[in-house]
Amino acid sequence: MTPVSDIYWHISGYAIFWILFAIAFGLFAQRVYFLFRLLRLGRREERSQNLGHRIKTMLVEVFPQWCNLKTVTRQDLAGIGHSLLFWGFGLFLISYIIFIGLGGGFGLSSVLAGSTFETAYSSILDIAGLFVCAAIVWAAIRRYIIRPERLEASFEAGIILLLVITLMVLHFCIEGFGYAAYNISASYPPIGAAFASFLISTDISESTLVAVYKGLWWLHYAIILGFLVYIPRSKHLHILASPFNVLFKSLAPKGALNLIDPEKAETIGASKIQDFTWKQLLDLYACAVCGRCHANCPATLSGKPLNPREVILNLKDHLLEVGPQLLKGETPSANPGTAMIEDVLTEEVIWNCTTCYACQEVCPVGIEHTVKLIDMRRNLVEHGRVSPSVAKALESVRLLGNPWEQPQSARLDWAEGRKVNLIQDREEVDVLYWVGCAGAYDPRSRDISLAVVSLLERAGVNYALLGTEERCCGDPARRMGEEGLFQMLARSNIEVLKKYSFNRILTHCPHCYNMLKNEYPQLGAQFEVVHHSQFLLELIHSGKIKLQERQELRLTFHDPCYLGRYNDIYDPPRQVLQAISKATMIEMRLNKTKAMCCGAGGGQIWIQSEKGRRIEDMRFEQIQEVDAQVVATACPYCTIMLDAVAQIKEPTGKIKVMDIAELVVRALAQ
Amino acid sequence: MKIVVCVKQVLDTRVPLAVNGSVVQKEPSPIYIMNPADRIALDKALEMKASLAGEEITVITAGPARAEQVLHMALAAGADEVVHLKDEAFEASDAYTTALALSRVIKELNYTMILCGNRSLDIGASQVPAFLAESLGIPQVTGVMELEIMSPGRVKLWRRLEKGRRQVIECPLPALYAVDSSAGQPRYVSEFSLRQAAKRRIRSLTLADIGLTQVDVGPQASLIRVVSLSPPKPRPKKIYIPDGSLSASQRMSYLLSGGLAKGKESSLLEGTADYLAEQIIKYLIDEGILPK
Ligand code: SF4
Ligand code: SF4
Repeated sequence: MTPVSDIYWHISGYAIFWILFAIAFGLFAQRVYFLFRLLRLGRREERSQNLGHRIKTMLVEVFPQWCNLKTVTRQDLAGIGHSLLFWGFGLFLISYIIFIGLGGGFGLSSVLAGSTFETAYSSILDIAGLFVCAAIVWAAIRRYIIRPERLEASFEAGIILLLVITLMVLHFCIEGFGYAAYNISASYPPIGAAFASFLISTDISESTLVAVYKGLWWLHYAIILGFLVYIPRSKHLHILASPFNVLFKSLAPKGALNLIDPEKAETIGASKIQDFTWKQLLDLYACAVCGRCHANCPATLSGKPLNPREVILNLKDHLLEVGPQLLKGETPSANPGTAMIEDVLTEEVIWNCTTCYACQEVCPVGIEHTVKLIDMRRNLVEHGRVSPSVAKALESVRLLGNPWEQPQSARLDWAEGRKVNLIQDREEVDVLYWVGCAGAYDPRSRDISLAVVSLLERAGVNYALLGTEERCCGDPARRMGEEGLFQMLARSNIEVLKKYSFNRILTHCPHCYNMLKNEYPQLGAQFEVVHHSQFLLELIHSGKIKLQERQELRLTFHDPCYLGRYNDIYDPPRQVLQAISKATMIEMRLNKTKAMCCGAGGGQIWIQSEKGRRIEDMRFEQIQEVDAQVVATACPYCTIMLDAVAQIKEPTGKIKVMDIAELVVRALAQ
Repeated sequence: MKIVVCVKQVLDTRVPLAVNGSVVQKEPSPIYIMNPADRIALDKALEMKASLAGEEITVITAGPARAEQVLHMALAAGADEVVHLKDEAFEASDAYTTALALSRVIKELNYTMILCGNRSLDIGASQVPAFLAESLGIPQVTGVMELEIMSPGRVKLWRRLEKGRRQVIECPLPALYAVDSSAGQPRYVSEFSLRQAAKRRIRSLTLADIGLTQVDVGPQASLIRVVSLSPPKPRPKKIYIPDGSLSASQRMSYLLSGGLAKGKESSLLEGTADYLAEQIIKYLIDEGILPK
């Protein structure tokens, strides 16, 4: 018995029901269609391959709320609250379709009324309603009282909390008044029925009960319709967009950038919102404004202008602002104050990113921040809009084959005075040791290369180096947006590599590792690549490297971004350390997926953002928080950055910065 | 208005050089770049083109076949037209013969302004601009840091003097301006645009095209003869001192070069307004900027 079957002022309740519905749905559909058309302004991008796999991922991520739960930590339990809301409100949504839609609109309430299904479902809703209320109260307390750094108490957030809690209260009231009005006494649903018997026990007249019931029912209906209209027009658009965003998320290796074909591309990179692909635009809709990204961003934390959440939100506002004009075929960029680069996001913001991937790793809806920032860098590079230090590094890469402005002929200088195997002298080798630019030229990193070579020799590995035929892998160029240079380097390296016969490539640099393993395949070259943390572990396990008895060494490990977050290699370096020291590994506050960047990645070592604090200084302070004698790492950049700080902050050498290879060399059995 | 920019291809000095009769790079295949000051001159021309309508930039080089590289660079950077005065003999030409040959080409170009680098990275005689201006019969301004077109036909220029001083002068067009290499930072030219430019046509001229013959260029025509070259005296090695005020990449440069000269010292003063004002005045007097 829903009030829809009644007549109001000579108008059929059904008519009112459906007219209201048509208006609301019309407004909803109009907005969704508008948003869809905006997406189509973006460039094409293939994101529908492997649909089966995609659907499975979406089902796993969204419905069980893994997307949120995976980020739950002891300090940040909000994911649990969101999951309660999601499940609870999901049950309500289904109930709206069944009880209001089918029951009310289609007049099937007489079929449903009193059925076991109704009683059971309503009972579940009662319990779900309690959970939802609890989650809402918690959310409100967090936003308005605790105020964690990542959240702001926005007006929009307030509205939605209020709406949802009103719906919950109405649910209980409608149940109570409905049961009481028709004098149904039952023991289920527990809250509704209890409330009904309370109402019956009071001396409220039956006609009042009926009138209140009807009034509340229509109010309830109106709020639900209002919700439908409001959602696609608010920040809560993420409710609609994020499942699709998860469905279409990249299946490429983490953080991989798309390959530009200069012959086909209309523009290089993005300077206008419509230069992004549709998926990059969908990202903007999907943002839930949760702030997880900026709470983990080293640039934001160190006080630089970049804030990944603001990047997404500003781009979204910009899309919504200029979209209507673009749809009409006008060029809004002619208007002052609407240039995407400069007015919406400054060049400085775009160059602040270390591409550390911390934002993407925690984003519950799979937003790709780095791809957008690098796409904008690509456009800046194309127009020569780079800082002198970046220009210098890039030119050095182009002319000399490395970003350190060192001659190619000096690439093997690090091995001066010691015998190393060169691939040019060999028929076939098992392991090709790729040294990388830092390992070849940087005085600190050369020690790592020497350590690796001595371990290879000690273990009797059939290895060789490319020597002066090796050039920069292209990671700095690509991350700084110089796609053309990356392609040039990658092609020439691939050509060189294909000349020789080897089983796999070993490298101690996670940037080279990521490039060779995950991004060279874009140019048709598939190599088996192994990082030295994995390789050393292999050598230790197989007994090819014999270590002394384990020492008592207090070690902590700094996870390099391109080893950890990009390639999910967290355990091998830790296991290597455990083979060396019998003391338990000390973990820093921010470790593994949350480890803070050393500040060098994404070309940042040359970009040199001057604002705010130095990221490496902040990371070093985190190292100082734990009582470790050695901070081990497995990346030449991290070693350079952290060691430079250590020399100043710990001049007595109380904390040493060492690569795992150097530690293994020290621990070799005599 | 047509701007002609003269550029030269030089050896990249980041690669260690050796003196062996002539200057050579210790690298299997030599690496060449556009002379840094010429590149700044080209950038200045491009800036003018971006701010004024109707500019046209022609870039010209006199050099062997390999000098084509710098013209591709110029095209990629945004030059409208490039001219290659091609002859292997230019390799050993002195400033006078080079300027003479360039003037023959430029005379035909209907130019309004000529920009050159003030000095080349290799020989560094700073003579080509002067000879060129003389043979074209136009005024020249050297050591240009900044230039601004005031009205058609009049240019305001800032010349570099010692200790950061500037001389501001005005000069009518047509004229030749030699731009100082410190007048800017080279604007980056991307690999994609270089690749695109490599496909474009380069107008190439031979000596015959400009009415010269082999005897007019090269060592035999040169007024200056290089008698000998010797490597520089080794500089005392500086010691690397870790310094918290430097960024990681600056520290890197320190380490790699065995100690770079540190840039300007800066010091941060704190205190009351009176104290600070006093300190600033003291500094200005100490530095000789204010009279004692
Ligand atoms: S990749 Fe790292 S530095 Fe860049 S926006 Fe994300 S968290 Fe910040
Ligand atoms: S981008 Fe992702 S992590 Fe950042 S606020 Fe939006 S939803 Fe949250």
